[in-house]
Amino acid sequence: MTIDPKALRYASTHEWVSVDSSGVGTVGISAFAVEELTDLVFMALPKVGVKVVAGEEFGEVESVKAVSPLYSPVSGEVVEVHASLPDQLEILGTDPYTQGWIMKVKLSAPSELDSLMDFEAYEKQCSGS
Amino acid sequence: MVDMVGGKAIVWIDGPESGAWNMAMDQAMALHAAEQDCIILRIYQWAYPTLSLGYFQSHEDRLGVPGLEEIDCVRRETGGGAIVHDQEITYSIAVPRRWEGSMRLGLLQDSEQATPTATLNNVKKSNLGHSETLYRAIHDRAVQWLMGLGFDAKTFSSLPLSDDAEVGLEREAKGSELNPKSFLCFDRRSSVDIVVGSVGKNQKVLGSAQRRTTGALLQHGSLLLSQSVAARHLTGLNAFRLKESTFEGNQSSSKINAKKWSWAIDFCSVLQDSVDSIWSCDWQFEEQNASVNQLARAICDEKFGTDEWTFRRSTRQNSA
Repeated sequence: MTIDPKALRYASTHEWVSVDSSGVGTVGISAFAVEELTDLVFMALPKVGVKVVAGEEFGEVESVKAVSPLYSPVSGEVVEVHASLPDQLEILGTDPYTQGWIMKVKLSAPSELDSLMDFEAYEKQCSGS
Repeated sequence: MVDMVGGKAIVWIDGPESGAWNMAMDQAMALHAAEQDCIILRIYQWAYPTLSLGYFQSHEDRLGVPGLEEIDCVRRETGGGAIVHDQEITYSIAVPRRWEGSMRLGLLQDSEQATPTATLNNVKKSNLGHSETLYRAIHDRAVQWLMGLGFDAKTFSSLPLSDDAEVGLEREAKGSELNPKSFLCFDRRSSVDIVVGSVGKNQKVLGSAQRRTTGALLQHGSLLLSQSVAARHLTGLNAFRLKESTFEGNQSSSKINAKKWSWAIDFCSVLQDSVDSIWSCDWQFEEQNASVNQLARAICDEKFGTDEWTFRRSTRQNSA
C-alpha cells in the first residue's frame, strides 16, 4: 500500500502518522526531515511492546556525527517496528512515506491526532511562513 | 544587519576526572544550560587514558586492537568515532535551543574557509540534525589560531584533492569524507575536521561531534596534541614539531601537564572567540555549584558509570 504524504498528520518535530481502521498508527519521518538530517548512518528503534508517549522520544538517529532524538507523534503501544530499516537507511531518502516507515503503534489516545498538523500546515511550517 | 542574540555565557575549567564523571558532567551541563538559558563552555582533562566510544559504536570493535583493549572505556552521548583521551584537550559546549534558533546566517559568509558553494549548501532550514554553523564557527577559528602558531592547518574540505590515485578515488567516492567507518575518530576525515600537513600525509588534529536534546545542543571536541601509547599512529600536532608545541616522550609528566594546561587555556580563548562570532556573550568563569555536582553524580551513578550503558551496543544492535 502506498502512503500519500498529503493524507498524513504531522508533528512539529517532523514525524508523520497514518492511522488505519483498526486504530494502529504507522509512524515515520518526513522527506523534509530526511533532507535536513543529511546522510543518516545509524538509527535506533524502540522495542515491540514498549509504551510511547506523544511528544516524547522513541528512537534516535545519527547523521554528520550528530545524534538526534525521534519524537513520537502519538501515544500507545509499539506493536511492530521496521527492523531492517537501520541496515538500509537509504530507503528514507527515496521513499520516506511507504517503504521508510519506522514503527506501528496501537493508539491509546486517538484524539491526539487532532493536535497534529495536516499536510498544508506542515508545509507552511517547513517553509517558515 | 541581523541583531545578535546573547546573554550570559559560562566557562567551566575542570581538572582530571574519570570518563564516566566527565560524560555525566557534560549531560548535567546541557540540562543546566537549558534551564538557565545560558551557554556553557567546558574544558576538561581525564584522570587516566580513556577510550570514549561514539554513541552508536559497538564496544566490541575495540577488542583485539593493541592499546585500546587495555584502557578505561566510556560511551559518549555524541556521535562520531571513538577517541583516545590522553595527550589531548577535550572541550564541550552546550547551547540552549533558543540561542541556536538565532544563529546568524551571515556567519559562514564571513568565514575565510568557506567557499561560496559550501556556504550555500551548509545553510540549513531547521534545527534538525547537526549544526553546521557551530561546527564551522569553532573549527574555522581554530584553524586561524593554529596557522598563527605556524602550523599548516586547514579544514579537510579545503585540502586539495590528492595526486595519489587511491586517496583521490576514495575522496571522490565519499565526497568530503575519508574513512568514515574507521573505529577511531582521528582516523576519519569529515569536511570540517582540522588537519595539519599535506595531502596523503596529513594528521587530523581537531574533531567534534554533537548531540541534540530537547533543551540544548551539546558539542564535544578533541584537540590532539601528541600520540598516546594506546594509539601511537595518531601523532596530532606533535608530528609537526614547533619549539613551543613539542610533547616529547622524555619530558617529565609534570612538564607535559604544564604544557597541556597552557594549551588548554589558549584553546579556551579560541572557543570563546568562536562563540562570540555567533552570539553576544557576557562571559563568566565559574565553578559548578552543588546542585550541578549532585545532578552529575546521579547521572554518573545511574548511567555513564554502569556497564549497561558502556557495553549497551554490540555489533549490529540497534535498539533504542
